[in-house]
Amino acid sequence: MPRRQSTLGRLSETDWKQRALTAEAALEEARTETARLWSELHEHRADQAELNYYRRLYEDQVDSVSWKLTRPLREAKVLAGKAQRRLAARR
Amino acid sequence: MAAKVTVAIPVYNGARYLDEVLTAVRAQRVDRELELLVIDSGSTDGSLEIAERHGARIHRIPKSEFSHGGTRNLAMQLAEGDHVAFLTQDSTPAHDGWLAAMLEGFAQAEDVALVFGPHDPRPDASHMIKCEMERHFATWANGSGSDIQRIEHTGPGLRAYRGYPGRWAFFSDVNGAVAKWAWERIPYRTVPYAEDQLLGREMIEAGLAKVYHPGARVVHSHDYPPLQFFRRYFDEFRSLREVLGHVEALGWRVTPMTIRGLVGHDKRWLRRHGVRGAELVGLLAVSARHHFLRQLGAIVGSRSDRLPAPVRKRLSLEGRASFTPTTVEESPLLRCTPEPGSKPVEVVDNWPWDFVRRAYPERPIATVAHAGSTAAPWTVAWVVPAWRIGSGGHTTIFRLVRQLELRGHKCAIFVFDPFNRDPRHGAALREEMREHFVPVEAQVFHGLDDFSGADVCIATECWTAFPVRDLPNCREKVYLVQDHEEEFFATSAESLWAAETYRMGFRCIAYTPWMADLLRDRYAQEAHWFECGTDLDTFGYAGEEGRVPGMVAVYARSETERRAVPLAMAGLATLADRRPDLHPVLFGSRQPMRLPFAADNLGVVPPARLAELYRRASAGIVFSLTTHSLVAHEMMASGLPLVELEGDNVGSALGASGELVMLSRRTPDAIADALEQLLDRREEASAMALRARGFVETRTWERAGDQVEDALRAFLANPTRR
Repeated sequence: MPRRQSTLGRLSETDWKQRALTAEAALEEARTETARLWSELHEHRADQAELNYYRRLYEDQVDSVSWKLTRPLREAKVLAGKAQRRLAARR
Repeated sequence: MAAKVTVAIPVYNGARYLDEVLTAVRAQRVDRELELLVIDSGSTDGSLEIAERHGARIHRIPKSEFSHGGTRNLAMQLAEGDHVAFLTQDSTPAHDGWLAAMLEGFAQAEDVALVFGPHDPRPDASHMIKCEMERHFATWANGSGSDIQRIEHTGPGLRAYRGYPGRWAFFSDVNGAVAKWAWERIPYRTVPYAEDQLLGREMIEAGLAKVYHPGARVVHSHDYPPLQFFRRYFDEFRSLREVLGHVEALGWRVTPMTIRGLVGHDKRWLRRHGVRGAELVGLLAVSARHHFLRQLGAIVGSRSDRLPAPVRKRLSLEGRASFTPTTVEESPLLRCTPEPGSKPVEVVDNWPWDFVRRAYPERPIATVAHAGSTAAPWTVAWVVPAWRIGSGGHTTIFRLVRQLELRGHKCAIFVFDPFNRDPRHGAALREEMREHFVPVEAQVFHGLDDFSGADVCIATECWTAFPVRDLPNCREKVYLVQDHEEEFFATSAESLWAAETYRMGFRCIAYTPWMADLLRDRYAQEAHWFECGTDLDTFGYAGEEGRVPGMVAVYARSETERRAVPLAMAGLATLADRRPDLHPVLFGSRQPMRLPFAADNLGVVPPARLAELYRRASAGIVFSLTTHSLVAHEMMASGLPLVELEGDNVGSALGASGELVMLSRRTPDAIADALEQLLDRREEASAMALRARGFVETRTWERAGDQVEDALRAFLANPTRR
């Protein structure tokens, strides 16, 4: 019986070490993955912040008095372009 | 049966709509006894008969006794109800739940003093009136759902009120109800006009609540032919001037813009209702005429004190010739200039020092508990101040970021900019950082809104320490102390606050052992240290050959007081008296200089240009009154012998005088002597420069990266909170 106990003890110790090594490897993997996801999250947030910035810039632009005042000019330009294309098509 | 509720209506020749109004009031479904009270001021058109037919309790007053505020006070006195709902003789409850909605408003909180509801225009009203009403009542709860208004007597609450007082103070007794207990505290002002606005303002300023209930709708609008509209607005704005002192703005720019804005609202409203093409153009022409006359009425009416009485009578729809200003106490909360001769201080939402104010009362550094694992990679958030191209402190920070990245750690950079020095977004800042400083991988964010946590968060300058202390979800908080910033400021709030950051309990990584000792000895902080590297590729070594005799490269950054530039200039002036061949070349400053000796000023130039100067000059001057400058390292890397000021801050890093650099006493003559020695004894100077180059070669950025990483590992292994 004592011999049997000793064998079991050795097996148990080996098993524990193996499990610890496996756990450590899993932890390392998890840390790497966490850091990667953290980095990815910040990339996404930076993109979002840039998008919001340009969206605000666009809204400020099209909401400005100068943009509204010059609207007829832009519309005239579009119409002139259309007219030119039609004339060109007829020729 | 619960307590009574009263519906009170002041009447004067209102037969046109009165039957409709009273029928609608009688049709109300409420679980209280309803008292209908009519105050008549001498009607002759059958209004009284209509009121009697509907069972109203009628109280008669002479026409001369009528005033909007006084008559409503009388109604409040006579009313038997706990709540009194006011209507006018032409405002008809839109449905049988109108009064119940009013009472529901009072039930929302114990301190509700006033409840009001929207006005639906009558079906024949013009599009201008319909649009205006819709827009006006959309102010509260976006036009849907009830909205409870109450002023918070705090800084932000009062700022919100002062920014848009109309939203908070508006009340209309065309369709509004008053709690009797509140009226007993604050009655109507006995003013001829705007009594409801004053009541709303006084009650809300007294801390009572006001409710907008969209269910308490009435049908009410006025429509007149164009010229009569002008006369009505004349009357309205004359009264606003008499009671509230309002003068409508008039100007070549503001008036057309106001009319344009109002027509624009009508245009959008018409489009929303499907009006297009020629019909739209026609209706907008009507709008333009209406708003022109309206604005004209407002401008003339609010200046009617300048008109003779017969003209006033002629212009008035009421036929009133008088102009009688009423003295109404100024709102204590809206008062602008309490002291004669003073000007109001501009109130801003972004006071730069607010971040310091909010940092008190003192609190411990916020960290999360952890087991002390140092397993890599780590996530590291750096909080940095806004930068200018060429900033040495930022160059160091970004080089350390890069070093951590090269070791596999993930970094993000947050620019804390309370002084709004750089409004650019993160991507633009990142581009500049990569182009002009160090090409790091980390993302850059303007502000701290995107911060969500990290293994380590690092404050890099004294002002960043305040927000970093409180940022959430960090295992450790670290303070990268590059200099003793308290000494950057004269005795001031800034110097106090800068010193305060060294007592916050951060775990410090100091630039130089001297700074680490100072943090330990003076502030009892845990401190590791690192030493900067030098860019040896840019600052290559050059020997004696090619150096111009008498040329001295002088770090003259006068914007930075700790560089003691006037002291350097005093030393140079002394030496210039002795040596006419002295040729100082100043660099590092954007400020113009006026000196008692001849010199060239390079200004702020790229590192490559500096390297060229260091290779051509025969000596250099860099002074540091706190931690020593990296410029000294760059000169040493270039083989340029240099003079520094003596002191523990420099001596502890660069050794004794003559070993790596010449250390001078802090007097002009001593500086001149030290410099002269370098210029005259070239062999000794060259030997010292060679030793200095060897010293700098051992101080690499890789070494600095190792030192910072080791410090962070030590902090993580020994958690602040377990």
